[in-house]
Amino acid sequence: MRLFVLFLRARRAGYAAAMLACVSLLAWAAGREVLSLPVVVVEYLAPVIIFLALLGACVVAAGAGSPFGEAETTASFPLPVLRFAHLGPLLACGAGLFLLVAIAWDRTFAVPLLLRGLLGLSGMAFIIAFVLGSRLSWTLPMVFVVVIPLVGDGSGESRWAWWAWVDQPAADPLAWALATSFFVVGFWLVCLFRVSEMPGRAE
Amino acid sequence: MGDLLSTTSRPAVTRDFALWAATAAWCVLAYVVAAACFFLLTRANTDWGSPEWGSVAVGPVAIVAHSALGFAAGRHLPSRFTAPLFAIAMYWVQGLALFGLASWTGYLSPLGSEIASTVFYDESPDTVVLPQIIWFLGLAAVALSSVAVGRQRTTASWITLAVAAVVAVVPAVVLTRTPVEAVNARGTPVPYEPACEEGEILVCVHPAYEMALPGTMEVVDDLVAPLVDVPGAPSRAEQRPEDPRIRPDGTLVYSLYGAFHLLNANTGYGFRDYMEQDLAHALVAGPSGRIPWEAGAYGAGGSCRKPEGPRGEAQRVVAGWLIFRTGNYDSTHSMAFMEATNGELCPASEDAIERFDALEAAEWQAWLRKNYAALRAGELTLEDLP
Repeated sequence: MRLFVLFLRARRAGYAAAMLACVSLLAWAAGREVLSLPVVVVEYLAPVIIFLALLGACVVAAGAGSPFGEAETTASFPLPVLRFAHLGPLLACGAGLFLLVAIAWDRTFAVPLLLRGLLGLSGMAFIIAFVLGSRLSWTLPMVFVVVIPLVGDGSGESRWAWWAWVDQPAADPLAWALATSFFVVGFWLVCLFRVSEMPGRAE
Repeated sequence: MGDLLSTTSRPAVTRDFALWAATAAWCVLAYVVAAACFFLLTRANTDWGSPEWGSVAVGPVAIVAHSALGFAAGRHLPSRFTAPLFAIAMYWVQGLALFGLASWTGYLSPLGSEIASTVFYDESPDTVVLPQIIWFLGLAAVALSSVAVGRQRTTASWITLAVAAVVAVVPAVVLTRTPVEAVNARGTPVPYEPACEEGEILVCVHPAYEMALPGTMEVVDDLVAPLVDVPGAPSRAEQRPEDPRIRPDGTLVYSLYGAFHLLNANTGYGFRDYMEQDLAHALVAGPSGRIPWEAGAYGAGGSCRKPEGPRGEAQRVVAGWLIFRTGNYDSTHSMAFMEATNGELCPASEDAIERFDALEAAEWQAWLRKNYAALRAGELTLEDLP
């Protein structure tokens, strides 16, 4: 148990949970503001949903690594179990908070969009965390979300290109498949292998 | 690299600035590459117009400012969460400055130099480019000075911070006192030769949108086909920066703004959906382009309270039928912009659309010839429909 607590503290898991709560609260307030506007709600609420998922993913993935990660490799305890026990509940915590926010907004499309966004963007962030370190894990999801409105136009009747899964309608099966794939690959990578860290600049 | 810098025999501030400058340089390089790509893409799609160099110039300066702000945030609040949260927060701040708070904050955002972008008027806010550049340089100076103050609390560093703050505040005041509307109002029409193609009627678009001409013509043709030879129906269609309507000279004007700028996947609307709604709306509305709307005319579940339907319901039914004919009608969203309650018609109106569609071509042609003018004038009710 002591090892697990130290493992969580080295990854700022408490701060991450607090961040998720703050982010959820802010997003709830932003969503309430949007819902009070005399506009086509879905158009304006969708960016709030997507950025809430992005924030959640970035917060969770930022804690995937530790500046002391190298020392942990000498532990006799299987690290994948610890990693799973750290990231799994943190993601579940984020998903739970986001669900509450979505339910408070009372918009049916919000729940699937939030969950899919959190799933896929977390997966993306985990993959980058594995490749570049957890401090840079947010870069690809952020670029992905920001770039879609610029270059993600679809052709014909489809508003977005097939790869812009995060902006696709809530029931789009390909979008769900892509998000799930990102999550499975990313989660598998960060749980099974040590997340590399850039040397120096430890917090 | 961080380790090497930390042992360099230079002041800490110099090391900090070297790290920031290297990071910012990569970001500016990325901007230059992205800008070049967008120029090439634009050039491939249209040969009309030229880049707005003022907006292009603001970009790299804004990047320098934001990287300095982010660097300062990371220096003052060192945490693994600072970088992502600050980056995302700044993205939202830019958006809120532009759209959410008030127009007076618009030019504080680098996106603000694009507010007035339109191909019809020369609304390039050249007057705000220089203040914007100075504002972002001032912001960068404030951020970097704060890092210097954090490292060395000397009189010189405090003075630098104060000067930087003044450099940032002065253009910020100028920008917040420049109303967006005032800049737009100075726009002068830009002459152009429309790109046109003949279908059921002549369809024209602005040459910058020539790429959209085939798709636009297809939608116009589909919707206008039943109205050919009907007195009062449009004889040509032209893209203009106006609400969709039929002008007295018989020109159906439409804006491609919604089709290109208001699309969102989560609405399920595509280019054709927006165009059909806009055009069908204009085809049945009066000269103002508005269909009357009656508050309180709808009951529970969107039902009509009156048998004759709310005011304008006959127009909405015919507009719905025009879309219905194209095979693209969806009762849940095809009428979203026609002031129908919850974007849907009364159940009785849905029935009326199907009744209308069941008529023989000769029957609805005769009905339209006889009643189109009265329909557009808003004189018909659901009970007047066949």
